[in-house]
Amino acid sequence: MGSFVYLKFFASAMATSLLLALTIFIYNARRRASAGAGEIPYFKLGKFMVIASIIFILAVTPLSTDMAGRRNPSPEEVTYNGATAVEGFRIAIDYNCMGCHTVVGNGAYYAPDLNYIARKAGTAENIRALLKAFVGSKYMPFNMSERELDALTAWMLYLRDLNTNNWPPMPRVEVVEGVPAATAPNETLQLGRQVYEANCQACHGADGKGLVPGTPDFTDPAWWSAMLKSEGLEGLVAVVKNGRGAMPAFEGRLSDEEINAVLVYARSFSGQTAQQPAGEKKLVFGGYSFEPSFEANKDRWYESMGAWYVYWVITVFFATFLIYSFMYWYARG
Amino acid sequence: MAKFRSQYLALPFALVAVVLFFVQLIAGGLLAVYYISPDTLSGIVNFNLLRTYHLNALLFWLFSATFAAVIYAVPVLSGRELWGQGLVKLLALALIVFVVGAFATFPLMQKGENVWAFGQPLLYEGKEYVEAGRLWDILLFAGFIVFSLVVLKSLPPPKEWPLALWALVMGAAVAFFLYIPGNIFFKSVPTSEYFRWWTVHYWVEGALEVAFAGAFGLILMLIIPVPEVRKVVDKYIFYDVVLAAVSGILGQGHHYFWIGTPTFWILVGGVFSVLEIVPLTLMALEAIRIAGKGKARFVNIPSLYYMVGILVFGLIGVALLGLVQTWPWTNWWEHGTWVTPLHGHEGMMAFAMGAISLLYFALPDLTDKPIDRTFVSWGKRAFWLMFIGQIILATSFGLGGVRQIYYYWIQGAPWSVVMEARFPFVAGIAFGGGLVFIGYLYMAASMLRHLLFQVPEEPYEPPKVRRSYFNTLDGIPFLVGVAVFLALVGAAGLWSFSSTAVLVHGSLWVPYMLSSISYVGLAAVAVLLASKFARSLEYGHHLEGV
Repeated sequence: MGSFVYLKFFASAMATSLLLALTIFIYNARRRASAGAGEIPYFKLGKFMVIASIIFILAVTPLSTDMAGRRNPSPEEVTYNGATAVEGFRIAIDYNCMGCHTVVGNGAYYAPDLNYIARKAGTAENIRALLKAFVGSKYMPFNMSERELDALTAWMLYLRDLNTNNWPPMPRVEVVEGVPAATAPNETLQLGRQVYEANCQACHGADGKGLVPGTPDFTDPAWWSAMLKSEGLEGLVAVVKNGRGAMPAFEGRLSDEEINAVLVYARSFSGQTAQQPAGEKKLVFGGYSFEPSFEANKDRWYESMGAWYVYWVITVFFATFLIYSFMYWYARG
Repeated sequence: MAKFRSQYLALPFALVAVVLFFVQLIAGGLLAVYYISPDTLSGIVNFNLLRTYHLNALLFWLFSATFAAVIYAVPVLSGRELWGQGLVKLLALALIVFVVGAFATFPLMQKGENVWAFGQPLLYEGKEYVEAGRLWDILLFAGFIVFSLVVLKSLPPPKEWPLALWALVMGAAVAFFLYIPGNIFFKSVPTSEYFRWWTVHYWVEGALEVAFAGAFGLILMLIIPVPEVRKVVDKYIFYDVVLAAVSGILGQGHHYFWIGTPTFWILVGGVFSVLEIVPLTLMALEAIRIAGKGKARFVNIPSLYYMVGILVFGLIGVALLGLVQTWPWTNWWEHGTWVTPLHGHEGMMAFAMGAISLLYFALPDLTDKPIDRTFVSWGKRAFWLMFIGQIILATSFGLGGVRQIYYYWIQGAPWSVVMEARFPFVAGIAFGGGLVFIGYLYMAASMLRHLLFQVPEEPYEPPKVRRSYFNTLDGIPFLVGVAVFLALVGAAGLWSFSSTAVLVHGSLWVPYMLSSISYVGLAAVAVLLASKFARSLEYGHHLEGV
């Protein structure tokens, strides 16, 4: 089927039901004209369809709630510092996180989506650092114990790993080997910016000029040329990986691509044309579609392609009824 | 004079509804303050607390107004006094305890001091729309049971019920029973959200599309008591219930695209939520037909206007703005952004208008005072202020949301940038909200005046107004067609975020243009439709040919 699998299923189901409904509508024209004025047409069929749709939703409920094959991580197994995600969920309820944030896109829209933040932050340490930074501030004006922070971290790790059919939209990083890039593509800067904001901004500042004493001024082109001359690209990568002075080591926390991107981003503060330091890897937009999740889910029988054909038939059945009834009942008045 | 003494028991419920509506608007206004100046209220009344009040005041006042309407209607339908009047008085007391108790415990969320027992949160729930905790849920549910008992005991045996009454009772019963699954605490977030939508979504389906259709079918039968009307209403109710149930039960799936539930919901939920416009469109088209056939003049003009409000918000806000964002390809972009409250605010306003319409319908009968000129003109002003204000508010949300999609999902910009991008639209939200509030004042004033003061004996007579496009039913099917087209334009606008033009070249002309045309166009069509419907019925212009 290739790409646009969902679209093909969706569009064909719609088109088929529309055609079927039209056919029945035209075929039944005589019966429509001769039906008695007093009776309610299709009384039994109508009642049957309501019951059928109730049966359908009850039948798919066990599938939708992870009772048949695990689709999502178990909240009891996701832990951080001994606190489980379940404990975290309770705390999220106690503080009504959903009243400002959205969780899986539901909630208020006053603060960022929690799945999105968790994925952007990436690691448990980053998530916890974010929580620590915001709790007690004017944005989240309440205090939390360390244990509560640990539990919420576990819960956000759980949110991060939910199988949400590729939502929220995020630029995804794909590494294509062997493509030399003369200039940094926009995507690299995007990724670099994300990594920078999650890991570097606290000390190096949002404008790159440095907040903590001892940090360099990234907006200064002279500093960059001096660094590149004395240490080279490898040297810069090594500083990020191993740390220097007060700067912590990021080896293991950031992938090579992320280090690459963050260096490109940091250098872009200086206004220079950012050269891609590693030069052999390319980052592309791959995340702006929910299509790939079909492939990722095919190992559960109820989400396999075969099952989708069954859903397609059921969908066409109900949709034909709805479209036909609309035409029939409207035409008949 | 109301025929039965027990009908007056509706008054305390109506009063609670009017007061809670005020609380909802004040909370909404304070939420707007947060968007203008985030620091002012932070730490005093947190955003999440205000939002909880905003949502729950709405739910409670809708419940309360529905109770009032049913208590008013049941004696008329059964032809005798209400059974268990003592219980109803107790219920009114319990409602006040429930509201005060729930509202008094919500502030505990600012310090996270909930109480848990049996693995369930007792004081508040921390879940959007169903925030009242288990303690209050039990009280509310006991109230529902007592209420059902009173209603069922008072009504004639079910065999004699018209279909409209069946729809009302079944819709209400479904809404009440589905209050349970959404409230249970589940450890898994997808499961918790899955069942929360059973409650919230089926409230919309059960209460709006089924119970309200039933209630207004009954009103129609009360106004025009001929057997033929009963036949027409029966048929109309049956179509509506079947279509709403089938498309609604399966269309539920549009909440299940991205919450960790299986992929098949993208097919099932996508197709059926698109088809959810079927019952609502049919409802609108049928209403034109019934309006065209009706020979009687409807004297309660404010109630009539609000009924038109349900119809227009039901069509534009619920069905068509839903259609804009319900396709999986558009929902993927808009989910979790301000485009959702565009649909939410207009959709919820359909409920609110239904409840207000019922209040306005019952009031003159209970007070036994004529529907005088001031009552009508204040009621109409209230309607237009609320209607237009809500549309401005909702449209501002939508336009801000489209910018949010770009800055948040595509640029991956920090939250402060997203807030800045949405900031210009806060003005529209605050302005629209202000209009709604003034409308509320007119509404409350007209009702209280009618209830407490002497009114002139002379009933309102609609003036002779020259026929024009804006006060006749001419060309409504065409307008409905335009509205559907605009909704498809809006869907295309959201989908165009996936195009190379946006993603690679960063050109935002296409999504911004299409979305603006769609949202602003739908707003204009909504006002036009309301004007045509309400005024043609008021001035009697529907009588001469449709």
